[in-house]
Amino acid sequence: MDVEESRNGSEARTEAINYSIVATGLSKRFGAQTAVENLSLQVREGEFFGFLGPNGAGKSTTIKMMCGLLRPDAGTIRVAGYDVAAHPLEVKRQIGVLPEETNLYERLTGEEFLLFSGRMYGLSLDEARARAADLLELMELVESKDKLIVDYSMGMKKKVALASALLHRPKVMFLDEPFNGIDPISVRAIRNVMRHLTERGTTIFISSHVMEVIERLCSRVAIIHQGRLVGEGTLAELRTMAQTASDSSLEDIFLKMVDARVDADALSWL
Amino acid sequence: MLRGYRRNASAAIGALFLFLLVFPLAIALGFIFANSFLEIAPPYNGHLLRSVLLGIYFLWVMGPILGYAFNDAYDITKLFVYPLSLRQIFAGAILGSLLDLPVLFLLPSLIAVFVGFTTGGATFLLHLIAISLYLLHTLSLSQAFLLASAGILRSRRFRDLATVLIPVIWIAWYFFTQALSGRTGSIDWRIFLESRAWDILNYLPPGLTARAVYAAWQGEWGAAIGYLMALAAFTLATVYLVAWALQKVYAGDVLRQPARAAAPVSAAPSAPSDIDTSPLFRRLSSVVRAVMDKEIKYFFRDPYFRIMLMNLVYILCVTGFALLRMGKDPISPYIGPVVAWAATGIVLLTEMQLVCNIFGTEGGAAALLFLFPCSRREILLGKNLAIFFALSVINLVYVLVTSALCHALPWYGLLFFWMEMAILVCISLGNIASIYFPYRMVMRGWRIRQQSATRGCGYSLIYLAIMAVGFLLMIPVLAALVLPAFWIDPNWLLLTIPLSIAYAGGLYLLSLARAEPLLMEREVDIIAKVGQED
Repeated sequence: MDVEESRNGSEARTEAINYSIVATGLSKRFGAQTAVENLSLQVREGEFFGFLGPNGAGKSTTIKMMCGLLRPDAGTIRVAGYDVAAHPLEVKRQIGVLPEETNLYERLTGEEFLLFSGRMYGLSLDEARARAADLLELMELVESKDKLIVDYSMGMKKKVALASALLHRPKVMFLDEPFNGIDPISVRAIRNVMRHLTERGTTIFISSHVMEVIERLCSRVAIIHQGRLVGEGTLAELRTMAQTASDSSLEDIFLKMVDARVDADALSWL
Repeated sequence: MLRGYRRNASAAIGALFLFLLVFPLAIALGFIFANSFLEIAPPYNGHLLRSVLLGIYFLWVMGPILGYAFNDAYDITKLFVYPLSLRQIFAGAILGSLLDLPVLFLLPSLIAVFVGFTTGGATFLLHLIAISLYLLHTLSLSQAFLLASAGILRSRRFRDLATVLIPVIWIAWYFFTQALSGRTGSIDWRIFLESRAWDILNYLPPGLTARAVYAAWQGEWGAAIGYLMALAAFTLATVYLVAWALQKVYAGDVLRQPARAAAPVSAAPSAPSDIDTSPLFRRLSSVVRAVMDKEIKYFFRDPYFRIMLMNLVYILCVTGFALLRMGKDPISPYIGPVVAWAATGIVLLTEMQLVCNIFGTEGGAAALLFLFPCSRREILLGKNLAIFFALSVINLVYVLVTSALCHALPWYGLLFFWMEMAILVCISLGNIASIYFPYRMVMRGWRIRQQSATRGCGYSLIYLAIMAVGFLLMIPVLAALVLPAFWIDPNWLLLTIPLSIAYAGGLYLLSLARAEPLLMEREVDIIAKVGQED
């Protein structure tokens, strides 16, 4: 390897270290339908990154590919410096995931589930027990810790799933629609946890429809529409891209960029 | 009805298959009944008519309870958003059930009634009204049971209870029919047919229908119309009462049982599990112990495993009963050991289902399982050890009971050893099969539905092939034990037993080594197959 290649390699490694998530040319098709097409984005370490898109835009598909739960048809993904395809276990050691569908082990109690998760992440039983106790208190689930998860409400399931994703102190958190279908108290709890994580340097990649939260918390946002990235950057950068007013909200930008038309007046009988 | 088949080719093929197989049987049965009604002298043709209608009645009303397969059609809560009364929904359910295939299969038997007892226009008209009322009453009650069950089954507690209760009812039914069939030859049926009990039984709607038809056939029009009126009153009262009962079920007040979602069930507060404290398992990694602990908790708590356990209990009861009856045979002491060996095959078939689809019960949680950064070898080892120990307990009991009933207790040790090695072989094969051919197990009511069934009969054939391969792989172990024991010289067992252990153990280690990288490669596919319900 010559000096030029070596310098390029060092720069590439340095660049890669500064980014928690690097997706290049990601594509995924389900039969004839293209879910994600040639998507490239980069998320810096410690960043709170929002990922927006209409229903069916490809947000969950993208997140699943980044976590190694779905195999892309094309493209590469590096998370926390590791290639997801080549080193899936290393990636999974660094990430915590709160998926949109909270499919948990519902025949375990909340506490049992956290103990199980902790041990699966390599914690000793005592360490898992201590962290589980702390997280149950943080999530206000102490009173329900001995109840089976199948009897939990949606908000409680989300909170216990989030607690499970935090047990091993991940460097990167993927949150797919964390506020869907849950009450404001649970929303507040999850938001507080996310704020605490970013203060500690954890990278957060969040997809959500709750614009106010994304606008308030996220430093940068990417917008996906019909599987393609239509915008990426800070709020100011997105305003420029969307050619909206300087005080336009994220919702206005989003609606402009996905070319949404909402015309209830067309329904004359309504 | 047709739309469902248009979307699902395999369901259409299944229905066609059913139609081609069952419909000729239904027609044959109709012919037999019609012929019997014409040929058998009175009053026995009347008794036969009562028996036929009573049999259909009980089958229709009890069948849904015992073979209940819940599907979306029975979740009428989805219709509550529309401005429909429960009575309208119920009426729709009854009319809709007229188009069900099982009702169509019933038609030949009902037509036989007309063939056997119609003498003219007037009798035809009365028979038509009687049979229509009978059908309305039977379908109403059947639908009421189904819909009420669906309502009750909204409660998780009752769903879980039903997974144990229904098989117990089946076992009791089996014993009843076995005891009855054993005494059939000694019962004087003429006395029974003339008994008060039979007479009273025939004041139920099927009996009233039969009485009305028979009286019209005999020209006793007063009695015929009287029975018809009673049947009509009974039917209307039933329809009204069941609609009221359904109202109660879906308003949250089940008759005599609470229908609201049961209070959350608490498991015992977490304490260090036996797996963590036992010196037997301490050498295992934390991940393996965690997986074992989770699996064993699921064996006790998940309805799927409870149903599988009850299936095994059912098999034990059926086998035990058969062996008890065989025990009365003078030849039994000689063939007892052979029968005991053969009986192990029955339970092995069921146990293979558990080990050849180890990710099927993960469901949506499969994505969670494969998010953990632990070695896949440890996940497999944890699951394998848990199922091995669970099945060992079952085998212990099963072999004890069957060898005792076969008068083959001296063979108990060898039989148990054979089952343990067979299970180890099955687990070895199951690791590979579970990775290549996973399918989701879903609960519908109190029955298990294999989601692969909706993906065509290909999966069924694949699993038949897997079972065949499994039994082929077991042959060396079986030969190593049976040949010395029965033919050569039992002393050879001192050599063949260690060889069996080496074979089964070696097969397991080989499968584990192969399965680990395979699982890494295919876990995304497993998530796709077991993670989403159809």
